[in-house]
Amino acid sequence: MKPTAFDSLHPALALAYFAVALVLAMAAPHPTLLALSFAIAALYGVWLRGGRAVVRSFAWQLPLLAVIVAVNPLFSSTGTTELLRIGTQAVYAEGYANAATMALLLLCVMQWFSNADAVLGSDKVMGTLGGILPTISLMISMIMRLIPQFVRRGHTINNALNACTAARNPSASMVSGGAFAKEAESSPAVKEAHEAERARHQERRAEQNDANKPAQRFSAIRFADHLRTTTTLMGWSMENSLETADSMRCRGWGANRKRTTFRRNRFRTYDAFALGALALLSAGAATAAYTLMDGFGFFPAFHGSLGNPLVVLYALALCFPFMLELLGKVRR
Amino acid sequence: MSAALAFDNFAFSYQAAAEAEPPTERFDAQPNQDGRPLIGPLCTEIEEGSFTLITGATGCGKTTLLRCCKPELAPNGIRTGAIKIFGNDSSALSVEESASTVGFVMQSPDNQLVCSEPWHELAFGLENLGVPQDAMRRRVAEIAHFFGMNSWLHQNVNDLSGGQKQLLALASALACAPRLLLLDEPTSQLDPVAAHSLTHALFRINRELGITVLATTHAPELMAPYATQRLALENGQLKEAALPASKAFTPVAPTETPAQRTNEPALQVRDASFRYERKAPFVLRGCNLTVQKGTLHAIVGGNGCGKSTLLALAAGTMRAERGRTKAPLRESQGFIPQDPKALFVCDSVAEELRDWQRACGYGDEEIDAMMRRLGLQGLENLHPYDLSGGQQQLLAFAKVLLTRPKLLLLDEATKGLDAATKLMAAKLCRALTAEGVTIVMATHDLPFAACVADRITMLFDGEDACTEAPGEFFRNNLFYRAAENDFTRAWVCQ
Repeated sequence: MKPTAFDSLHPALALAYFAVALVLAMAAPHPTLLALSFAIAALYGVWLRGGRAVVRSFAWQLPLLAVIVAVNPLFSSTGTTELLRIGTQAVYAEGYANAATMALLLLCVMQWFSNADAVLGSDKVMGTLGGILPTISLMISMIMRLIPQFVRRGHTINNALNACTAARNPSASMVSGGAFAKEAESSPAVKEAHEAERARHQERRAEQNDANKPAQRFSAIRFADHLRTTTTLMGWSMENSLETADSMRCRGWGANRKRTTFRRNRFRTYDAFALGALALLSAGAATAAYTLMDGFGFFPAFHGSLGNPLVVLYALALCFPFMLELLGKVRR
Repeated sequence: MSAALAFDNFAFSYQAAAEAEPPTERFDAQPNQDGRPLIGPLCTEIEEGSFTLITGATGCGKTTLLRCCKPELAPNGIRTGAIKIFGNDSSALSVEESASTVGFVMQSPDNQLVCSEPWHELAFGLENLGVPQDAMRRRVAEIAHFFGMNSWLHQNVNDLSGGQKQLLALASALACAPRLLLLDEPTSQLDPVAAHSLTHALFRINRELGITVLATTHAPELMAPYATQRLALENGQLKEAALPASKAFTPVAPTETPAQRTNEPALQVRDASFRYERKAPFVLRGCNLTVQKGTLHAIVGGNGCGKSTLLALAAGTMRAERGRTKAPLRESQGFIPQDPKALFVCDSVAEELRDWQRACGYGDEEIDAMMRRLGLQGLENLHPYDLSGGQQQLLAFAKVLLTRPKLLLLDEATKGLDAATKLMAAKLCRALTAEGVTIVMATHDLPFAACVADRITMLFDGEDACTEAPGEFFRNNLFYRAAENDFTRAWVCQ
């Protein structure tokens, strides 16, 4: 995780900032404001997570939005500028404008959430929650540990099964010679014969495997393999979590006392100043949003203004983290 | 001096023995068939301030005994007599008292950690006990300082090495300030160097802090220099046994066996480089490995040196970024992963062994022969997870061997095995190689490698540092040496 200016502040500040950004976007779905919010969220995303990650997130978000924009107007038949008619259903330009705005809102919210995730992480959420909800904060910590462990175990199981090639025989017809113990005692000649038969069989099997490979990929065998992996994974993880539970009980888990928490978050004077600044900026942004949203709407016909000088305040509020970073650079 | 732990005519057996059902508890030990209790009756006292080792055969009930001493972990079963901890009956201890009197450290470094970061792990027990924040911070600071953990206090637990994880488990047990520390094979999953440092940490806890230490182990040689006494658990009875002396072991096996001269590689990895992610550091960098057909090749090295990765490349489950792998036996190989549980899918040992029967066409009599050979008889109806660690290892061995692989890849296959079982496994390995099976094993068990391997490769920093026959290998090593233990003595004798 990239270090940010929020790291040296009380975690409540980061939480407050992202709450402001999200609430502003959702409470004021105005195209200009949303465009601004999206631009800043994307910019902050590039700074936090890198351009690659942001572009990659668009790769799945944009098609989703395209579908929303395309489909939504078909079901909301209000407006004045009729574009076309499908059966008895009219499709209006206002419908498209509204859908595009909603799609932009969704995009904004997703970008802000990704940014929040990159800044807050589990430990900051826990830092704020830990005092109030010690058990939940512990749960989060455990889940943070268990998910990667689960994935890794899945790989281990898969690899182990794939590596046991001697056990993966597509033809069930083969019958190997004799009991294991018997064969060890049997004469070298018999053993050699067995070996030769086995080798022949294996060659045949290898050829079959090569021939079958592409077809096999989607076959029932594959499915059975996945099922098997899942079964093993479940059993294994359950078994291990029993041990984890034992380890927890050993250290007083379940003692009838109120849990305390280790993490200490001091609310310093600097935090108070920063929080005050954020409150001022948010008030400005809220004013801008209020003036723009007043008398704004798509239906039945588009009405209201697309912008006014106050939008600068809105942008300024969202740029709060950049200000913090700058301040941090200056003070250093 | 008073007794930290006193067994007062204590006896324990699993209920299952009487009801002829498999045990419901999931660890070490099988029901005793002849009606005798699994453990006891015991009348032993362990003095405060002592460092006691408990040794015994695989599945003899060491873990059960240890768990009986910790009220929260006490297995279900028939229990008579009492265990007194510092004079108090163990079953009368409250959760709080138990946590702050008896610490418990388990075998697996992974499973016993609860939180995602070490600082939280250290604080976990104190948080449970409701220790006020200032006292808690002070305790965590002290303990982190004592073990020198400051530099990795905020790392992700999943990124720690096995040794660090086990040290963390130990430190977090100690954070609750117990007076008695119980450890269940604490070093069995660590590499030799990490095992030594953990043992040393135990020594410091024992002598500097005066905490009574009681540890079960399969490798008493490692802890013997620090321990004050050794008790052997045999047929449910604890007997005083001598602490073994730590002596270097130099294999007497011929430096070159005939099999090595056949010069027909069964597996060849050439100049292989590998990393797990595009930006991650290389795990292997230009690593070479050549294994001759019909030989047993051991790969040794510290934790995280790339042993398991090299095995994965050899098995073909991962592909090298650079370099080539030649594996003519690819279609007929068997692999036992580090944790044998990854291979288990069925609900009983018998079903487990029949799992691949259809695909490989081995008969029931072969299964019986295999179970006899590996000493698994009588366990048919148990769930694989109810077996002890060592028995699980053997089950995985049996399951894979039944498929009659020509190339056998083993990842830490000897952990959790006692000397007698190891000897049996060693003989089996030699019998297999004599039949022409090629075995490659990644291992921390240097004495085992010294006795059984034809060649040893030491991996360091992603490269093969050297490849030699065991005799030369251990003669030339200054620090990385095998110690004599029960297994090597038994091996030399036979």
